Amino acid sequence: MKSKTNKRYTRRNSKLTGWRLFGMYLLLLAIAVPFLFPTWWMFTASLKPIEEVFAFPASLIPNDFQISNYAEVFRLQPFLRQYWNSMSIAIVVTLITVTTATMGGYAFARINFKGRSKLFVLLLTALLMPAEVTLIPIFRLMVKSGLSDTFLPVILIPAFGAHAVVGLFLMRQFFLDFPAELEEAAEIDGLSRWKVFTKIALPLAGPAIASLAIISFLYSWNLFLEPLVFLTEPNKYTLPVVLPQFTDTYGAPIFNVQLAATSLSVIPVMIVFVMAQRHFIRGITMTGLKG
Amino acid sequence: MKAKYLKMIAAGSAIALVAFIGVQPAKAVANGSITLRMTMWSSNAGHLALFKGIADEYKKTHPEIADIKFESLDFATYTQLLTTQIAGGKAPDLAWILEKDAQQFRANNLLLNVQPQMESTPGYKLDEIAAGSLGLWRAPRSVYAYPFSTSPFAIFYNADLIKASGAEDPEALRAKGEWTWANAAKVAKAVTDYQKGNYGLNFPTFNYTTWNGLAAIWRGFGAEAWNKTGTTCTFDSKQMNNAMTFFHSMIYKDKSFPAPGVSSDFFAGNVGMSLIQLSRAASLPTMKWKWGVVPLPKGPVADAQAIGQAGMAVLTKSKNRKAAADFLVFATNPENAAKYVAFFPSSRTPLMDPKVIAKASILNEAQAKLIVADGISKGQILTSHPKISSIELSVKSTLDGLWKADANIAQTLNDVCTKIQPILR
Amino acid sequence: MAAPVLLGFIFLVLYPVLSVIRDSFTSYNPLSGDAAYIGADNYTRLVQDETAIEVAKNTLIFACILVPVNMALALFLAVLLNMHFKGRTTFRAIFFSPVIVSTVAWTIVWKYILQDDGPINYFLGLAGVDGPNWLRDNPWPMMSVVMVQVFKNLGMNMIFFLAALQGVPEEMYESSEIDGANRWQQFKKITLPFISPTILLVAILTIAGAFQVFAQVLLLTGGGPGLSTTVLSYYIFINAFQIFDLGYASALAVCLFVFVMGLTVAQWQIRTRWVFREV
Repeated sequence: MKSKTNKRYTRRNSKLTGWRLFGMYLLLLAIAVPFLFPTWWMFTASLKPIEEVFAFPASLIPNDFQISNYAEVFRLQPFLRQYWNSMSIAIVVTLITVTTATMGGYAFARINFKGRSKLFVLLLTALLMPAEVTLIPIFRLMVKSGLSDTFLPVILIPAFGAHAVVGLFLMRQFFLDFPAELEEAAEIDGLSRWKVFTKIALPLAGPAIASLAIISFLYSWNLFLEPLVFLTEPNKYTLPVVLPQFTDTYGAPIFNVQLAATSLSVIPVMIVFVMAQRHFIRGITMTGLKG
Repeated sequence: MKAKYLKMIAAGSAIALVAFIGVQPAKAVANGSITLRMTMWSSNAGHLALFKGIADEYKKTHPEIADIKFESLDFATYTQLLTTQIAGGKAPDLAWILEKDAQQFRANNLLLNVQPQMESTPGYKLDEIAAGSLGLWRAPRSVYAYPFSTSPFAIFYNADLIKASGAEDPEALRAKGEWTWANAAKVAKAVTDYQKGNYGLNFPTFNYTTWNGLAAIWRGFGAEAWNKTGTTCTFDSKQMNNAMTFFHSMIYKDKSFPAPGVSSDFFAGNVGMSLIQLSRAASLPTMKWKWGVVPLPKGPVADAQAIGQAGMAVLTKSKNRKAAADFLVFATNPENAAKYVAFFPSSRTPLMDPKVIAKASILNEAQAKLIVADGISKGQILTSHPKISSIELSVKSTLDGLWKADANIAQTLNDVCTKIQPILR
Repeated sequence: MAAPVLLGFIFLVLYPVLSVIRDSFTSYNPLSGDAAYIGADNYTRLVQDETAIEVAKNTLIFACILVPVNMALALFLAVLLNMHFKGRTTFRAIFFSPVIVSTVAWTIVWKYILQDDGPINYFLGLAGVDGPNWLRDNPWPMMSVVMVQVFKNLGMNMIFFLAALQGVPEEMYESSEIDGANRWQQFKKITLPFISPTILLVAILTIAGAFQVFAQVLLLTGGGPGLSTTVLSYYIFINAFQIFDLGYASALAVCLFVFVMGLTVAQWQIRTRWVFREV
């Protein structure tokens, strides 16, 4: 079923043993520090009283647990609402992107239409388009149509803009490797193009769609510039917009509460990742840019 | 294939169009009910309760008002958040405006003239508001905001820590008439030397970004950011150089003022003195140590006080201007203004009476007279300019040249003027 | 079937790019509502704006450090983690984990860690090293922004490389081993050429990403000290949404666009010299 390019190799003869294995662990652990320490520090500092966050000497584990930092997060901001905003926007963005990118990717890989390759190159320019370039006109467009401060811009921009093109690109790569014989057989059986797509191509695209979904969800979940510009009411904020705003009346950050809010935004996603990391990384590896 | 393709595009456009029209936000006005929204930069529970209380009372007599919402935005980026709302066509009905932005908001025609409502409301007593406090918000026959907080900067201090360090008490110095910046620096140095990890003085709102607050220091040295008409930069003056040289040596020679990137918290108890406003000091009585407060020290040139101000205004782009202006007038009438005194020094003359302030705030009568009453009569409000948003970024990035040990102060201050003079013009 | 993406492209990419070019010849302040056609004034101002020139320089410096460091480290880790040993999936997960943390959260935490009295300098102090004030003393602020970004996104590139490495047929190594090639020679002669199309794509994406860095600058340094970390994307944001000079911001955006497109076309042109197979 799998085409040749999907075969995976690991360096079997490069099995490590003894001192070389020990050296490898040492090296990797050293490199891992800047990847792991921030999360550890974020979580522990979020449990400290404010004087202890930068106390001297620094403590790796809080001396004095202060859970109330977490309660404070919900008092200062409608945090649950903001959490829900982030989550629901990311889900909608994911659903739309997966649908449009899968259809588009299939069309560009499988359907011959006039000007296809030129159109594809034109689309690819979007892949490189910095958000800052298009933001100002989109802002004016949204203001004119009364859509600023609604969720639409922060859904439409990722789901149909540059990010959608990235998705289309990934799916096209996947469908290019797809065995043509299957489709041909189906067409002989009298299935329409659409049927071939939904009945034959889609069911086999599962892993590719899953990794596109992950990438899309993370993209929307992490989006900062667009929500910062378009969502101006605290009730409509997403998490990346509100996190920097945990400040006191005079603008100084309230370290421990800010870190508690940050922990709340990071830890659930982290748990899902840790549980599913094998599939997660394998899925992306499979659809990733193939050599 | 081609026709099918076109059909798809047509269908897609139709869907997009429906989506665009379908989500036009519903207007809040229905059956004569109005929702008002006010943005503010405080999320302090006490402040919110105060405004909520006033709003609830107002709703009792105004059935057309469905709700009045108070929206707390981050102080550090407040102006940007507010202007983005306005530019995005979603202006709030009322907003707190910082003194530094007053002129720019007025120049862009963003603030509604509320003088007619104020004058036509019996018992509002517009002339009770001190002329000096109204300056930034006033034009002939026009008032663009009610200055609900006219708050002098002061030096709050940790008396126990200063005593332990062997330095003289600031209040004692003031009583002798020796409360000068030079002596304040000595106190700060003593506290710093007393124990590792202590700082003599901090200035939380400055934080090496909000430079206009430095007026609290430079005015005593006779310096200003620009001339009165806002057309000529004066950062390169001798006086400014003296002020910045003094401040720089506190940071880098005495090390008594926290350098950039170092955190310090006066309320945690290891900072000797803190340059803050009254509204920030509300939690002092709960501290385990003895605290005191004195006005800003005298400089070599002047005994100058600096005042931060906040106005409450109706925005011209509000969809309910009339209702918003009516609420503003109600919320700032003499009875309601009296409720603010606990947090914000008032600009209504009867409420500037030290007895009134002492009753409502953490200050005693003598302190209230020194800090608030004298401060407001002697002091000047922080600088404002019609083009403040371009100016403040240029000044901030250029002044960064000062915040290192080997800074060339004269050169940096000259650079500031080179940068902003073309904007001032 | 490609219609939705095409429609989105027209409304959210093509139309904005054309309008940003048009807007760059106007002055527009959405606060006051003042708007006017002013010809090439924004561009004349741009060439004379010393700040803009410094900002362009910073943008290039940022990209020139970020791209090689990010790619080299990602490839290095991918090669290590493509070997056979226990725990390699765990390490893959560790290096990938910052990708799932939002840039804002990641940056906020790093801002605290990098404070002068923060944990990094504390641990350096224990080792007897007097650490610099990372976000204040040049050249560390720029380095900090680069490294925070590298740690954040390295995992994605590592996975792309890993996928490519796993596509190198084992037989190719086996036959070269018979020829007596050592590991480094194998890497140079077999691995690199084989994965060169991936290197090209990763390079294009990483470079494009380098020109979009925004949250890190806003939250870590605010573009300072001075202008030392103010990059083009951040400068556009400031001009557009703090000063509300949308015309000038549009002219800057056009420059950024030309920058990114020019670099991509250049890479595409020289690809035949080093990319082993067609993409």
